[in-house]
Amino acid sequence: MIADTPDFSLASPAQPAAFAPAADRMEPSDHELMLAVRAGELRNLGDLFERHHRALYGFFVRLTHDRDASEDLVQMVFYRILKYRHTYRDEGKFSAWIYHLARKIAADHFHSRRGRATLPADAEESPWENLPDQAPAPDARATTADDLSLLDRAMGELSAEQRELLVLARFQGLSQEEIARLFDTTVGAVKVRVHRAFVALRDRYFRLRRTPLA
Amino acid sequence: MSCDSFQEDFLEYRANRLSPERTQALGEHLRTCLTCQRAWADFQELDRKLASVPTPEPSANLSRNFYAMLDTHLAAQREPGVFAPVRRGFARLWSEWMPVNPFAQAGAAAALVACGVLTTLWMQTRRERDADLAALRQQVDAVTRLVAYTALDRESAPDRVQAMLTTDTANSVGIAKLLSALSLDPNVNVRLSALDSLYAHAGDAAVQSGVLAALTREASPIVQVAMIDFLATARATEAQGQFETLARNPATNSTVRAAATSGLARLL
Repeated sequence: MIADTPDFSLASPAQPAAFAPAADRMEPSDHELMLAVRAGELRNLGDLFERHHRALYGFFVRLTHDRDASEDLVQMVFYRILKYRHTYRDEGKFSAWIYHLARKIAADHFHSRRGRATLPADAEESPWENLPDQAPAPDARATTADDLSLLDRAMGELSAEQRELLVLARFQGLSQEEIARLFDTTVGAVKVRVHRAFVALRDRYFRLRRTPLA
Repeated sequence: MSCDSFQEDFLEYRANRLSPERTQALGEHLRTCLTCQRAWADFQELDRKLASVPTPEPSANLSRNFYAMLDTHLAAQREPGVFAPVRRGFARLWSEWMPVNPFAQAGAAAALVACGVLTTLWMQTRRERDADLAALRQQVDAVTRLVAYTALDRESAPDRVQAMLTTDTANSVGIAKLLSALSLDPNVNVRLSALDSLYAHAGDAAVQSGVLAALTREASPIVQVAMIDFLATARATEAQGQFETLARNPATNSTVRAAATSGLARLL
């Protein structure tokens, strides 16, 4: 039975702190901190790191399935922020800029991996395996390790772009406007592509769930 | 609106980013559309599965490595190199003034090209103007010389004296005019003025010969004395014979004879 209006009681996805509402917050915004870094006050980069490094790490892990490499890639993002801090523009949104850097670094990573004869052993590791023990959310108690494995397989069957779109929209919490800026396209196009990626994931997940394990 | 367009709103609605109008429209549609009700139920189930996916946590190495890198940069910033202020200033100018918009970049490039073209045109115009000025200056000099030469033929002695003093002796034509006046002008003052103007070329053998030739025809003692002094000063040895003639001739003016004698002594 569907409710008269959409159900707002759903558990909110874990959103990065950087994209949490800024109301009632006296702390400087990401943009203000980045302007200070650009002006030479490099210590402010530490605040930006604390706000974003976990979200960026999750982004890289979900894309690369490689935990060690993901830590290096996060480090590379902040190194490039330092190196290219003078290119940060006043009108730019920091979240869009940092994910722009992250996507380029991920692309470089995949490009360099293609040149290798073999992948490291942990490259095939699921990002959702061997995680620290965490109590599941109350509304997700029914989710089992098998479900997570099925989700992982379903995600693996998506195209790279669909996987990236889902990670950005669902896990990193970027708005459609921010994703449109990252992909240099319109909000309408992002809306359609994210929906198609979600439908593709749903179809693959339910198909895998109906298929008995070999 | 189609069912697809409503289902495309699920994720934004889930993130509380859907406008109130769209939220209301979505709710009304879900009350009546069985297809979208099933899609909404599937979405909710899958969304719950995704929400249960634990967020991966980085190791402590990440923070340690980051702060090590930051400390390295801070240390480098505290001990800047000689050119660090210049680099910082340039970087600040670059970041603040360089346009980031592609259209603005194209506009800036076009403006730069236009500046280059205008500068080239301006320099070309200036070169042409300088060439015109040089040509005009030559024409004025030519007119000045023409006026001077014309003045030599005037009847008025003061005008001819003035012409002698203003004659341009930088060329052979002017010198020839002066020598001509020295030999032929009937006025003593004009001849003396011509001789004065020739002093600048006293070392010229042709001038010395012209003055010597004029001396043989000169009748005025004052001009003769001036010519003898000119030739003696110029060390014109070819005048020695004429000086001896004047010094020995008893009919010669005594002052001229004395000057010729003195001139011979200076030549020898």
